[in-house]
Amino acid sequence: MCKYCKAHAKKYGKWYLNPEGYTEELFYKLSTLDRILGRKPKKVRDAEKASDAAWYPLGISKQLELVDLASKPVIGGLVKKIGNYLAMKTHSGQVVPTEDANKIVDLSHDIVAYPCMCKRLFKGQDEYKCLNFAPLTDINRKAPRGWKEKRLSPEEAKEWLQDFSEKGYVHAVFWWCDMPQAICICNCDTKYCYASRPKNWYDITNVYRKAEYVAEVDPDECISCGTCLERCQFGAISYDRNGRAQIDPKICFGCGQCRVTCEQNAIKLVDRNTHAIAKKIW
Amino acid sequence: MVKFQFDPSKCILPYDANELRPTKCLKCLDVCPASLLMFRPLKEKDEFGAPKFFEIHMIFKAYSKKFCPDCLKCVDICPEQAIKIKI
Ligand code: SF4
Ligand code: SF4
Ligand code: SF4
Ligand code: SF4
Ligand code: SF4
Repeated sequence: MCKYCKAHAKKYGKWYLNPEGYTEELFYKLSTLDRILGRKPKKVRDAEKASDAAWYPLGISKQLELVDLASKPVIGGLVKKIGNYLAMKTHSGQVVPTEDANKIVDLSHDIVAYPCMCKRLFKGQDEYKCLNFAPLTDINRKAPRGWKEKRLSPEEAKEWLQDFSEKGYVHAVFWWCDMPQAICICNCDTKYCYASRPKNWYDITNVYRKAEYVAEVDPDECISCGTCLERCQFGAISYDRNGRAQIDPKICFGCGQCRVTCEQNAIKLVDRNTHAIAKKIW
Repeated sequence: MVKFQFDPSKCILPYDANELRPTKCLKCLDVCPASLLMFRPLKEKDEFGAPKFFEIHMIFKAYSKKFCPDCLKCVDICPEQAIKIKI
């Protein structure tokens, strides 16, 4: 179990399966300082700021300028540490396979789809693929320039997740101002993503944590059809010298999307926490 | 490192209040194979407090040498000649 699940999962195994993370109580909980200063909790203050869809890109561009400093020779190491700390304390995510994304749908309520901010900002196109849920949705509806939404029933949300999975998008659950408060399931095309790129390019690990799983191929079942290679957004799959697919556990994010088109069912997800190599890589 | 130069006087991206973002042009974003360009609001506000205009901005500059293949697609597609890339 990763240290974050140890701290936040309680008896539910994974931080994002802890039902407490989907409650109003946790979202609106006041700290001692909030009480003294007579102000709203940080989760609410930050959500109100983020609910202004028109100004939101300005904050993102400033964050990305700071991320860029992580590549500088002298200060880079420190910037990465600060980035990792802030990612945990603000808003970042962890990859989940479709099975777990469906469990998250069961735990949440008031599910809506917002346009994917990354595709909007970096491609100029809107695709409704960020599935958000209460209590954040409520704050967004009250905002003067709140995000446009499409409401979904839990059944519809699961159908959408299935559709995203067929398109090869990677699901990731995002926390808000600390685990275990979960607010959305993103469905990412990583070439636009402003979470996975700082992770993969600048090594700011906590921005887009790998799943609790890692994928493995059964070489006896693999018929070398190659469809899984095209499905992996992270370049973790190659062929071994016998022409069988092989997955590099150091690269694999455990998203499970390579399994979807494997007609041989040759790919399985195993627990990252007990995997000899992958357990150290998040 | 690739130097991205953008001339805001040539590219006017007004805010579209229905879509809560600029919806004009954005051709450079669409063609960039490395998704290294974004739009961001300029400081000026309209009467409702929304941004009046947006500009085009390059992100992940430290990595632009690696990921911007100098394809110049953004330069070529821009109808206003608002983008220059210095190599
Ligand atoms: S994290 Fe993923 S789904 Fe969410 S806004 Fe970015 S690319 Fe879109
Ligand atoms: S999709 Fe399945 S059968 Fe095809 S190469 Fe990958 S693991 Fe082998
Ligand atoms: S190899 Fe790993 S990262 Fe790639 S698609 Fe499969 S599970 Fe996802
Ligand atoms: S030169 Fe090509 S890769 Fe570089 S910013 Fe322009 S479109 Fe993108
Ligand atoms: S292509 Fe040119 S005019 Fe169009 S948005 Fe980009 S910089 Fe502006």
